[in-house]
Amino acid sequence: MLERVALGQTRFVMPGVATDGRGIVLGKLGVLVFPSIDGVISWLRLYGDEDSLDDLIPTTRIVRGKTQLGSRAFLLIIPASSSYVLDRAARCARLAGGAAYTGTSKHFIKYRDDRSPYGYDALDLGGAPAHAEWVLHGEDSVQPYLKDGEISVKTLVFRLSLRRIPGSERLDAEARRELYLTVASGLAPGLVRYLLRNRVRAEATLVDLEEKSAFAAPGEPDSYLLLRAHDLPERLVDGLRGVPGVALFRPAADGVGVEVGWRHPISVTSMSSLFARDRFYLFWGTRDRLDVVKGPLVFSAAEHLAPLTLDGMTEGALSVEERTREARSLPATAEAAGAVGVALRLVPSLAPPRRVVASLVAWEEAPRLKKLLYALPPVLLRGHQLALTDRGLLLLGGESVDVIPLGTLLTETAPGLLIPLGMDLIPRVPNDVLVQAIELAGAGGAVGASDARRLTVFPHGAPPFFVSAAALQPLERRVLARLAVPEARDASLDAGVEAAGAARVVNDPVGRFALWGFKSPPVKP
Amino acid sequence: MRELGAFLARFVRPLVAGGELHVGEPIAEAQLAAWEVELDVESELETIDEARGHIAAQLLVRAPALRFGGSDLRLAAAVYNTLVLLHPRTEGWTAKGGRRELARHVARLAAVPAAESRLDLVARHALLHNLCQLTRVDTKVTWWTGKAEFRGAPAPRRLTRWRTLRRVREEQSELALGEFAVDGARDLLGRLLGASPLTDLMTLPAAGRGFVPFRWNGQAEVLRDAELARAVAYRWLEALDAPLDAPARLRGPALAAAAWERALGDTARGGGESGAGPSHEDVRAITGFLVHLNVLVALAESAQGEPGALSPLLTAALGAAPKGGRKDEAVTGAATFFAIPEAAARVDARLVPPGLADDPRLARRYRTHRDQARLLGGEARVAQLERKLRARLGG
Repeated sequence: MLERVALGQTRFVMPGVATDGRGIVLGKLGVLVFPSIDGVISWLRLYGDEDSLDDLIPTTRIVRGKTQLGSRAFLLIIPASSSYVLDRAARCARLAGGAAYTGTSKHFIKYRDDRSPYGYDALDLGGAPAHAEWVLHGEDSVQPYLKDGEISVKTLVFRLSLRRIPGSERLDAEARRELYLTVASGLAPGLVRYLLRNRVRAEATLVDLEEKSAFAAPGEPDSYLLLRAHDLPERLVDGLRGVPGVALFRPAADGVGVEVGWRHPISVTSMSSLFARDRFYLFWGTRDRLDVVKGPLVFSAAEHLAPLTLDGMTEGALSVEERTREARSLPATAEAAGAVGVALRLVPSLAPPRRVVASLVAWEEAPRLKKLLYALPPVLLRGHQLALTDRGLLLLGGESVDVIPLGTLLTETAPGLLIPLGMDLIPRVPNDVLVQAIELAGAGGAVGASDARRLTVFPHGAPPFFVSAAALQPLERRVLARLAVPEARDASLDAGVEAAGAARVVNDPVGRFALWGFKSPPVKP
Repeated sequence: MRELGAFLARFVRPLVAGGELHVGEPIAEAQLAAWEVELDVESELETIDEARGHIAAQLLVRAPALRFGGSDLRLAAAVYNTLVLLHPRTEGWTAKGGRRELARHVARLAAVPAAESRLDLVARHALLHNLCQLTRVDTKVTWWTGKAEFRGAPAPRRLTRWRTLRRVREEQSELALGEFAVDGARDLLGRLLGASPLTDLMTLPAAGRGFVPFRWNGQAEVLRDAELARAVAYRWLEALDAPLDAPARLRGPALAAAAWERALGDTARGGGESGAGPSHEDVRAITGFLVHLNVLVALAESAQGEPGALSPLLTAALGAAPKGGRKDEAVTGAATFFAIPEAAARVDARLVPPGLADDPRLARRYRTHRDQARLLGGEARVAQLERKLRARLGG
C-alpha cells in the first residue's frame, strides 16, 4: 500500500529514496516494467527520439524477471540521474504500456504521477521473499521479481530489423553529399570507372568483416569494396539502386551507415556510444543484417583504381587519331606549355602528420572563433596572427604556439605553402620546384626566395589562394572591435537623502457646525 | 479626525514626508489626551520617524534617533487645528465662538517649553519643516446658470457633468499658505514657528515665509550648535550665486540683520532677560553669526577676480536701499547686514572673526567689503549701528 508524499517530507519508509531539489521522491535507479520485450523496444524508440540514450546506456540493464507464480515481465533498469530524466522515462514507459518505479537496490516504489506529484512512499515494506531480487511496490500490490535472464542493450539494438521507409529512397542534395557504396568484388573496377567517367569524387577501401556469417557458404568472400562517393548525382543514385552487388548507405552517425530506403527503429544518433570508434557499422535493410567492419577505415582516391592507358587501346583512352586531332587543336603559343602541365592536387597522406602551423576558419565559424577568443589565455592570444580574406579567416600560429583547433588545420609542406593536415600535394616534386611552379595572380610572378613573405593556401575542394604577409596582423589587435569610449563626466558623490515632497492641504467635508460647542480646556492654575 | 491612526496617516505623515494633509473636524483636548495614551502602539509612527530621520540627515552628519512623542503629537495637533481655522466650513458667525476657543487651544498647544537640546531642536524641525511650504488648491467651477468655489477640495461630480451641454468651466489655482492664511491664523502660525527655532531659521529665505515676520527670540540656541549653525548659514547663502537681484540672493541674511537691528532697539527699550527680546549673550551670538556670514560671502568672492576690487553684490545691495517711502526689510536689511562687521569690530575686538590672517586673499577681500559698506552705506549708518550694539553689549 502506498501513501502520497507531501512537499517537504524528508523521512520515508521506503529505503534508498530521498527528495531531490524539486521535492520529488527519487532513488538512484528507475525500473520500467513491461509485459513483453516489445514494450522495451518501444520505450527505446520513444526515448531515443526525444533525448540521447547515451547517458543511460552504460548502466542500463534489460532483465527478464519472473514472479513467484511464474509470470514473466521485462524490467528495464536505468540510472535515475534526475527527476527530469525519470519523468521523461516514466512518460515514455506509460506510452509503451509499462510502469515506472524508483529505488536504489531491492525495493522500488511507484514513481510519481498526476495524482501524487511528489511521489509515493510505502506504508510498510511487508514480507517480501528473501530471495526476490527486485520488489516493486505498486498501488494495490507488492510484486517481487526473480531474475530469469538478462539481455544486453547492445545485442538488442544490433539485432533489430531495419524498417523500410517508403519514399526515403529519393535523396536530396544534402543527403547525397556523402554516400557509401558497397560493391561486390567483381563489379568494383566497372563501377569505379563509371563513377570517374561521371566525374564523381570518390574514395575506396577494401573492408573485411569482423565476423564471418555463420550462414556463409564455404569459400564465400567476406570482404567487399566500400566506396565513399561525394555529391553523387541523383540520376546515378537512381541507376545504382537495385543493381545486384551494389548497395547504397547513408551515414547515420560517425562510423555508422544505414542502407538507403531503410531506417533503424531506434534513433542511431541517440545511442552512438554503442558503436566502437574503431569499427564501421553497416546496417543492411534488404539483407536484414549488420556488418561490422574492422577499422579505422582508410580511404584512397578512387581515381587511382582507374585502368591506365599506356597503349592507347584501353577503354577511356584517346585513339591515335583523336590524339592527333587534339594536338592540332592546341595553340602553338607559349601558354600552351601550361596546358600540358600536371595540375597540383591534394590527396590523403599516410605520412606522419606534420606540425599544424595555421588554420583556415570559414566565415560561418567566425562567431565560434569569437567565443573562443574570450577563453584564450594571453600567451596564446599573443602568439597568433590573423588575416581576413574572402576565403575565410587565416589564423597563423607562432613558433612555439599551437594553433587554435578550429576550422581546417593547415601544415606547411614547403616554405610559404600551406595544405590541410593529413593531405599531400601530388605530383610529389621537390619543394623548390613546387614553389617555383606557383604563379600568384596579381602578385607579379612566382613565389621565390625574394618573395617569401606570401602564404599560399591549398584548401579542401577549392582553388588555392595566397595571402600577403602584410595582411597578417597580431590576433589581439585584429579581434578587438572598435570601442567607442565616452568621456566620463565629473560627478560629485551624492550622499544626500531624498528631500521631502510638497505638502498640500485638502479640506475634508465636515458638518456646518463643526466648531459648535468646542471649548478650550481651562487653564490650570 | 476620530482615530489616532487616521490622524497620523492622513495628516502627520504627509506633513513630514509630503502629500495631502486632510483637515476636517477639530481635535479637542480630551481627544488629544486619549491619543497620547494610545501613541505607543501605533505602527504608523515607524514611517513617520523614518521620514523625520531623513529630514534630520539633511542637516546633521550623525542625526539623532527621533521618536514621535507626546510633545510632537501636540505640536502636530496645533498645526492641524490651525488649518481647521482655515477650513471654509468653520467660517461664518455661527462658528465665531468656536473659532475663538479653537485659536485659544492652538495657542496653548504651541506654547511648548524652549528647546533645551539639539534633539529637541531637530525633532521639532523634522515635524514642522514643511509648515511654510504648505499649499492649497482652490477650484472655481462655473456653469451656464451659476458658479461655485471649492477651497482645498475638489468640485463634486454633479457640478462637472455634461461639460459641453452645461458649459462647465473649471479653474484651479494653487495658493501658498501665506495667501490663504487669515490674520488670526498667521499669528498662530508664527507661534508654531517660534516653537521650532530651527524651522524658523531654515525657512527664513523662503518666499512663502513672508506672512510671518521674523524676530530673534530663542533661535540663538541653534547658532551655538556649530553643525546646525553651519546648516543655517548654507541655507541662507545657497542663493548667493543664483541669477537673481542682490536682495533676493541675500534674503535670509538681510531679514536676519533687520531683525537683529530691531532686537537691539527692543533691548534698548527694556528687552533682554526680562522682556521678549534676546538676551545679552544671544545678541553676541547673533552678531557673531552675522559677521561669520559676511566672511562666507567674502570667501565666496575671494576665489574670483581681484580681491581688492569692489564687489558687485555689495554695490547692488547697498545701492538698492530705498531713499524713502515703504521700507522693504529684505532691501534695507542687506545694507545693515554688510555694515554689521564694521560696527561689531568697533564695539568688541572679539567679534572680529579669528583666522582671517591665515588667508591673505580672504582677509583682503573681507577688508574691501567692510570699506565698501562704509563707503556706500555711509559712515553715519555704521556709527548708528555701533551705538546701538554698544548700548546693548555695554562695550
